[in-house]
Amino acid sequence: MNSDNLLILSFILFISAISIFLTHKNLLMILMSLELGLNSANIALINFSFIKQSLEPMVWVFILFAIAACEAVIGLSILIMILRNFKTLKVDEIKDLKEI
Amino acid sequence: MIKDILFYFLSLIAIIASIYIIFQKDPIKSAIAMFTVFFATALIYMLLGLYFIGAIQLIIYSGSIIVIFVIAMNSMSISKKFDFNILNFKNIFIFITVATFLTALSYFFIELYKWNAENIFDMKTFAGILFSNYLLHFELISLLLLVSVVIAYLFAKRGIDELR
Amino acid sequence: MNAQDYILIKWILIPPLVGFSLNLLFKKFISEKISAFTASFAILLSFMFSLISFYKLISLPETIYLKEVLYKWFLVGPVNVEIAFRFDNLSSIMALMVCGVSFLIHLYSIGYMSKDRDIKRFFSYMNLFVFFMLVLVLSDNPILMFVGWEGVGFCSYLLIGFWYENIENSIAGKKAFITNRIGDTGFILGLLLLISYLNMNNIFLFDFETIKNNISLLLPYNLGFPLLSVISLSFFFAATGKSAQFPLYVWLPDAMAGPTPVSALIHAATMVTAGVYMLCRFYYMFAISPYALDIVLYIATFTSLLSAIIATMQNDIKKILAYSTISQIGYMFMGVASGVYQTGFFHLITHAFFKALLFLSAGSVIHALSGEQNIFNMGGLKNKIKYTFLAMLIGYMAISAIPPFAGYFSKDLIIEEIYNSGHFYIWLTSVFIAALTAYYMTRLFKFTFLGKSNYKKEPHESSSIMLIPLFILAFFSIVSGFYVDKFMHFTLAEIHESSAIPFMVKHLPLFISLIGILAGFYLTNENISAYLEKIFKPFCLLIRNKFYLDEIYQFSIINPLRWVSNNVLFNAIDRILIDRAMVEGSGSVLYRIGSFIRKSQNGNLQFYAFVFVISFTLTLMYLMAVIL
Repeated sequence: MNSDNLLILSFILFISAISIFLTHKNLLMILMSLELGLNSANIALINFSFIKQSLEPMVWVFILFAIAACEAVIGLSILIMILRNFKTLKVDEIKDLKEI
Repeated sequence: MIKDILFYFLSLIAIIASIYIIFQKDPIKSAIAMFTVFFATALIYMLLGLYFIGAIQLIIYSGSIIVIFVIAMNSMSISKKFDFNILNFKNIFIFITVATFLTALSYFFIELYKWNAENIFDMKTFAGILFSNYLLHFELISLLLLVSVVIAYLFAKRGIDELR
Repeated sequence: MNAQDYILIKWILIPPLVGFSLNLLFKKFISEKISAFTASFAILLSFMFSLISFYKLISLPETIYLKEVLYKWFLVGPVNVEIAFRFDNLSSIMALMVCGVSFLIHLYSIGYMSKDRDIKRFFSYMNLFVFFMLVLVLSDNPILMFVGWEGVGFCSYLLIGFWYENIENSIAGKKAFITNRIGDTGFILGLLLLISYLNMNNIFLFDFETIKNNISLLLPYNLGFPLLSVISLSFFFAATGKSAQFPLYVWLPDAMAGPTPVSALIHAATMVTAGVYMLCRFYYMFAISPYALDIVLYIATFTSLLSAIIATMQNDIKKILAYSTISQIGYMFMGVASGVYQTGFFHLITHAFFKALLFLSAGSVIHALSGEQNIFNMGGLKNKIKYTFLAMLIGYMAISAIPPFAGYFSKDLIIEEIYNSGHFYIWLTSVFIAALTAYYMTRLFKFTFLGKSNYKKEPHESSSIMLIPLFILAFFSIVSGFYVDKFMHFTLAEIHESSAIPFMVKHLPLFISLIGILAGFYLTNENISAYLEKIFKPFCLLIRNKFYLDEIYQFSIINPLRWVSNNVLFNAIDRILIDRAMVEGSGSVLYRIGSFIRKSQNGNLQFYAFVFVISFTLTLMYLMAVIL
């Protein structure tokens, strides 16, 4: 148990999060990947708090928990609105921003 | 010694679960896997002696976020199977690219920091920093929580109005 | 020479300009009669002002000339070009001749063009022409002279193509203008060399006096060929374009497509003599340039001989006179090149009189026969149009150098000076050309007026307004010869003692001319001419087709040029390179770049995120590298 291993764990989780984000077509999966990514950020942050021997990063971790929860709520609300308007959750079909 | 073994075990579980999510088509199953990841992470925090943070992790992440997701999934009646193939070239390529990049980046950080594992969490000091240096952040977080409650209520209400 | 300011010089130039503007701007408001009389009156005014200035000039001592500076035209660094006029011994006589002959021709045209529907335009062009010719004659620096030079070329184009509904007239006008332009490049080249080399020697004012005083500064320069010779020959090249010498004489026979007064004015008396005038102006430059005068002499002699030969077998009355003009101008250049340029100048003046007379009477004949121009369809007009017959007789005698008419004095003077300059074979050739001149003029005269009548319509005599100019010109053709000594004295010529020439040489030209006249009467007899043609058939064919020079030019120069401009310049460069590659191409390149870049805006969330991740990690790696 040392800094290297914890950071490696954090990075692998983050890689997974981005992989899910970039490959899955379901908007819901994308939102879940965001939570996973925030979680990996938390792990990295407590790692740095141990290195710095200070409790400041811990405070950030605490704040990040709250942010992650709020973000999950708001994201799901938006997702439900998108579902109502576009009638689909497939990211490929939600292309109003596409240049013709 | 035990700590190390436990740590490796728990992190292995977390990694396997997260990889499982990548290859999983079913959202419910991926939600469960994510729960596993969060749970393992909480246990790792406990190992480090951060009992408070680990508890918070369990409550908020695995106890509320995943639950919200599962409820949403059930109420949206998404199909169990949707076409998604991890094994086509585009997705593999993306995965390999991103993995390479992030691995390269991680080495920088690993070189920077060496770390000494000790029990450093002191609640009093923690509260002192939170309520003095980060008071503004604290208040803003409370505002953010309020906002999210309002939003959730509004979007749900609008949906009910439309149904009527 | 010193200058004296005289403010009346510009008034010589103003009336024709005013006449042109009036005829142009108020064409709809004035009747034809008023237009014609205004134009003629304008020229008369010019003539009077030049007469007044001439009397003023005579009253001054010899070394003073009249000068007027209008204003500064432009300044280029230290170089100062002004609009200035110079009224000295050369330009005064020239201006008098131009104004006088133009006035007579204007009077004549009132009668000749009376039935034309566009007479106002005609008179406006004629006035404009006289204006530009006067600018050329009276200018005090070669740059202003070039303005007049180009202006007369342009007016010549307008007037030759006056009856533009017939496409051939327009083609002739175009040919005249373009050939003139080709000569103008010589003028510009000479002018540029002159100005730049004088600049190098710190001369910044370019009136003729300054050039004359400082021309010797340019002697040491050498561009592979002495600089002064290059300049002189460039100016001479311009003169061949304007005065119809080889190789640029091809426009003059075609220019006979214009009305006869135009041919009389422009192509006998004034424009074609501009080249000779310019050479007289620059004589001091030609005199000190090695080879220059010799080359002028050879080319002039060659041209004179060539055109005289061609004239012997032409059938159109105006074309014979056109080739005769080329030949006589060759004589003028020979006179200038022989060492005493005033002889050439004197022949210019007398030639103006009798050639204008010849052209106008030819016009009278054509008018009498309602448009017939072929001499073989005329004949026996002696008793029908008596006054025209008399006028043409006088002109014919004058050009054949029969004493006491003016042509004898001027032409014989030239031939004498050529003998004195030492070129023996040139002298022989010039005598032979005199014989040829007499021969073809006799031929013309015989077939037009004598013998049996071949004409279809009944001829009518011309009106008096056409005959009066004829008589005045005839008078001057007779009288001007007697002023030769005064003329030479006035233009500061140094004539050798005529007793140094052997008797035989002195009177040979007259003798040869008489033989030419006899040959003209005898050899053009039907039987004899048929017999001669049979013997010399290939030569006759060659001569009758003008030595195929037009065809040679067409084949060697014009057709390749046309091919190049059509295929290379039009197709390759204009259409393909500019239109397709550059205009459309630049647009389509941008369009393609745009459509390529546009594909990145596909609205795909995950694509955006992918780009995000890549760029973020790259930035972070770069920053890490910097920090570490």
